[in-house]
Amino acid sequence: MSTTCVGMLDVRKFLLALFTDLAADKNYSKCFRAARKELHRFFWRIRQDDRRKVFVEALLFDTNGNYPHCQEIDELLQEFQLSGVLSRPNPTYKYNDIAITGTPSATEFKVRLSPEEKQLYAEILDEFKKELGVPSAE
Amino acid sequence: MEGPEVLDDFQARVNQIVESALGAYDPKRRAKEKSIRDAVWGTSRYYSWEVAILDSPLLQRLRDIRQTGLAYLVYPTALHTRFDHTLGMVAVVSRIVRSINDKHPQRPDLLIQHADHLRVRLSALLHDVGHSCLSHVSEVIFGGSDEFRALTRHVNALFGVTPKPHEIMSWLVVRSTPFQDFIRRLAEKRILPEDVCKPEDVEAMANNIIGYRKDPSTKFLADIVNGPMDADKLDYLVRDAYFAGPTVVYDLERFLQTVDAIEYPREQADAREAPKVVRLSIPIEGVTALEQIIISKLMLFSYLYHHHKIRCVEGMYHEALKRWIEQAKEGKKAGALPPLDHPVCFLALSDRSLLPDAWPPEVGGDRVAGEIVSMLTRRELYKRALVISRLFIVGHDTDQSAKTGFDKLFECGRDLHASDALRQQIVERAREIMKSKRYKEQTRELAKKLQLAHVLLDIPRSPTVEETEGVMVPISSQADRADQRFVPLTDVFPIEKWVDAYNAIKWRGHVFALEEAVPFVNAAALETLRGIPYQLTFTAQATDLCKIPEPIRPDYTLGIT
Repeated sequence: MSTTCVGMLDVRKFLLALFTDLAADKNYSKCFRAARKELHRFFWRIRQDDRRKVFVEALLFDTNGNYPHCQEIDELLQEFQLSGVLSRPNPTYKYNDIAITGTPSATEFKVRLSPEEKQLYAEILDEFKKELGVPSAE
Repeated sequence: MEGPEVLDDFQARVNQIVESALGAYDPKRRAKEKSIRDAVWGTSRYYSWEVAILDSPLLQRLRDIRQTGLAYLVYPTALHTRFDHTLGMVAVVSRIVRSINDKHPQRPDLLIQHADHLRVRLSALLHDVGHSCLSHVSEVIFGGSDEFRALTRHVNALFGVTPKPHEIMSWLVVRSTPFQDFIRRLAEKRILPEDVCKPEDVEAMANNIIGYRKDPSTKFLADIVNGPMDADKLDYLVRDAYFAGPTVVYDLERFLQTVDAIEYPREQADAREAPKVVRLSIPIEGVTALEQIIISKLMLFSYLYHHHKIRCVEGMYHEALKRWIEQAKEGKKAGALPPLDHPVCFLALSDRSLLPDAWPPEVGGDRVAGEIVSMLTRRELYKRALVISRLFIVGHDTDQSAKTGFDKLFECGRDLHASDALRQQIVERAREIMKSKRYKEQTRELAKKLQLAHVLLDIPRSPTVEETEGVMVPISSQADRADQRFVPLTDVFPIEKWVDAYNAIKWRGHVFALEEAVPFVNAAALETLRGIPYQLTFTAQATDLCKIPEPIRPDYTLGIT
């Protein structure tokens, strides 16, 4: 038996890359909406897409509830919250503020992508910004 | 191996173990049901067929699996077992079922029929048969293996559920051919009623354990066994607190008074085609009782599950177990220890399998695992060498590099190889400090003795509070109102905010080490974590909490500028 969890590490790096790239875009505020259902659905859609699931293949979704839910995403968000990468300012808790604009892990993740994967990643980032990002003007 | 192949492989191995447990067991027919007294729920009654299953080696094994693993080394009375918890859960199942039925005398579609009640009780009776030695202590190891991850992926693909490893193992046991044969024997001997012994009944019982129902209109039955507010939780929260000692209270009576089988709203777009979904939920006036349950769970994380000494003993045990598995993989035999070259091997173990009597002092030339196990027997525990918390990191709130470094540490906690590499760095640095001129007279021997297994890095995951996930709360207590409105439970009770607060204040990671090495490991850890890629500087509190009699301040260590 071996007990490595390489898949989840890659997902972690992928999420970090998404968040930091969103934070680096001047057209958007350095945050994304803390909308649970939408967030889980967003990653569920990627997981269901044969072209793009490569980034989140390690995620397992529970589809028996009233929306697809992934425990690992919640755990990772809590972890980013704990480390200070994200913070949910009270009293509204409506947004996840992104406190950093880059990490070695996110850079390492993007460097390893093939040209085709880079294209897919850019598509996902674009969708993420549109669906969960907050345009700077807001 | 992936997909159906991996399931077939696991099932074949589980079949063998269940066969050896049940093959020779001859269940006796009892004339009547049996009353069993329990410290938590008082006297409860169990049907004769339940007693026949309880008496089988499959269930008796649970008497030798402690519910809270090695927590008894910290809370001496936490000696309760999976067997006790199983009995308690069955008792709670019946209370939930009766409570639901009392509410729906006019709604046969929501009334739980007697046969369903019996099946849910049987699922509860069998829900923990997949546990192995010291419960979650070994579950982390077998559940984290590549083979088990592949199985979990397949189960997820088949049913859309994400059960815990022991639940998948229990599911495999119940759906195994020898277990189905056993159920048939019980029916032939007229021990088990005919209406709960058909193959599809056994399949439904197994599926309840992983929280799956083929028919979503009966999903609430699986919810009683494995769901956001299941009987499992209602029992273990009270039981763990009762036997460990900390006071944790919730209002079970209020919960039972309000919990119900509730038809969920359908999504607007596909309202007509969507099947009817009935889940276990609680109307808005009962949410306080559910809040108490969830807060109790968070409190138990603080008192028990994340208690630093419990994390330490579990970490020590994992070190020993990992070494044993490595030896088994290389084909080396470890005395009386059974081989552990596949996750299913754990199903044959109970707590006594891993006691020092079974554990030879040397496994394949490695003495460290044996040494750790005998230390645990003597309760000689590693001590805290560094306490990690965001509160103890200089500039954590303001400095981006501190946040990035802290995040890197969390990443390291998820990556066995990175974690081992960091521990190795700390060990090597500690050895250097020990050998430095200032200390070498006293610590030369210690420097030789110190090994990787003597230093542990513990980065616990944030508590998981899945109780609120996807739960919809009806605004009115009249569940069958046509115009019923629902809100997500998270709107009424925003649990994430509680978890955020818990994490900010209560979460702790640790470096643990062999007691005599603690001052050196402390200095080495401080220095290592100050270097690239972590770049973390800790406040004095991170060391002070370790209660080191004579700490070595980092100024004294070599290489500090």
